[in-house]
Amino acid sequence: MVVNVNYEEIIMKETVVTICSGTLCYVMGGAALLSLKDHIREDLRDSVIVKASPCLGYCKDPAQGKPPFVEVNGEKIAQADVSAILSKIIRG
Amino acid sequence: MNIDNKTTYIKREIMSKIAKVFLDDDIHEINRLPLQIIPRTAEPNRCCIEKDRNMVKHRSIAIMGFDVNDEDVIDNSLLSDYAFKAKERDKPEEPILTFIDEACKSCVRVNYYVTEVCRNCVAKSCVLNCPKKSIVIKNNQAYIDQSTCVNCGKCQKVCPFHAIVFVPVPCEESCPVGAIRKDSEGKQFIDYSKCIYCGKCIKSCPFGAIAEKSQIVDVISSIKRGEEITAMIAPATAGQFPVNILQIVTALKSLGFKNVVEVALGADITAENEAIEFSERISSGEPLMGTSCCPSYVAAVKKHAPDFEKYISHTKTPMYYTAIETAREYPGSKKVFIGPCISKKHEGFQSSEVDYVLTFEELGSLFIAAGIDIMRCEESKFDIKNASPEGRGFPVSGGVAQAVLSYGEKNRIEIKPVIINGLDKKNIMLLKAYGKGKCPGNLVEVMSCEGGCVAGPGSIGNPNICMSKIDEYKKIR
Repeated sequence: MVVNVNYEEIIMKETVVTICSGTLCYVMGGAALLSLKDHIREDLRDSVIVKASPCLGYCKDPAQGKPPFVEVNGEKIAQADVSAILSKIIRG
Repeated sequence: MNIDNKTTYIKREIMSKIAKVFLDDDIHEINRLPLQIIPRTAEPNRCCIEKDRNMVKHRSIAIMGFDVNDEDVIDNSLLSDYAFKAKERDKPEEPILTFIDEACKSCVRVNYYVTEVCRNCVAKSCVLNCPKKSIVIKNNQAYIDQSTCVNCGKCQKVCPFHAIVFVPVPCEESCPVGAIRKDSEGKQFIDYSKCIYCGKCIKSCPFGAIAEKSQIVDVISSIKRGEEITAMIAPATAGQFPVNILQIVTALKSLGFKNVVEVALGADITAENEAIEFSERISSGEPLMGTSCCPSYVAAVKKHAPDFEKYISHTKTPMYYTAIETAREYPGSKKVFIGPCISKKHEGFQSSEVDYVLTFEELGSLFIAAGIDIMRCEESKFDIKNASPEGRGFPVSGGVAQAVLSYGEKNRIEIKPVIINGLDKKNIMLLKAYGKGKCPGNLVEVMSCEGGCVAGPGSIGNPNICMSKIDEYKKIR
């Protein structure tokens, strides 16, 4: 999924992105997501805080979706990839 | 450099579920694996979910350590048949790699292809310049006859519209020694007389057609039998998980490893011995010495650049020295090397000192199967003793040369290191040239994996974060 973004139209509020780094999520793609900031334009990077956290627990319930799990300001993304996370940050 | 792709994640999911079946000793459950991984509602990866499920079956067989080449046997066996066989054996049989024929699409037969950009021009440069007369015009388009084309690339060069493209076969492109190619029927196969077990083909195939025969099942069986088992962890471990390496020590002990030892201990011995050997060799008139800890490069030299073989250090690898120390400290203990490396699996088979070899990917799958959350683990100390920062610095490109430099400081000889960072077709040529004496330095460090062992094919960490974690590791006292 490609995200086309016109940055000038967006005011970047401070966003906390929590990358679940429980063993399952980490091994199933979470490791790569820790470099999220590399995909964000340099002057907007400061407004995004990327944290690694111990297991968030979503993996225990199959209805929550597949790993890796990420929370953007507390909202869960299942089977997360860079595109999905950026999309959520920008669209709120 | 690892590029994660979907085949990697599918493999890890299957591996962790197989590990769970063996940990729980619920062997018949394994027959449900293809349905669990590919449920009815899943979006197919290939043509349909039945093919996907069949692929899961084939991949599971490889993960349990078996060859996947006799489709008659595979079709007529249950996964549990293989699982019971795996429980009874000591370890898998060589070779360590297996080719999953079902997965391989053999990509393209020849590498040149005429796209729709072709304008069927009057010049017809492609037709005129083809040395094998392989190009014909069909339906207003140039068309390359795959049975006669010899891949010379002339047509691509002469087309005025750039309508002819080079289509790589990813595994063939990635192999530095031409060990993987097509047989007379156009199917891919691995020529083990050339293969150096570097693992590049495994990571490059977009269909995941090449697999390692894992020993994950054998390690679990050993733990469940109550055998004393020691984990020897490569220094690259520090960069693999988002935690301090001492937390991994705890995680390993929770899995059932009685002792956890740093392979950096062996690396210290290797560096010290190589420094001495270097000094002796150069003083006696030899022009250069190559390091010896990367088994893929050593195999590459023996099979493809034999002139260089005489320059390779006779010092043994860190894995070997660590195994000796471990045997002395914990006699009778089984020894498992855990690292980023595929070719260590081959070295493990050749060496009676090491019982099993696992990659970090397999270790991650074991942690998942056992429900161990690494971030919640406390720190534990290493067993035997702590290694030095030099030994711990081995897994980064330049790290071995650096260690030899440090240990060799007291010698009078100036060390001029030459680093080969990653083996590819070009660097193999370099090794051939160095073998004939044309080398700009006198200590050649060769790493098959670009970036060093931290970026090996069995690694799971984020290469961007690796460096800072290795630095953190070096500081532990």
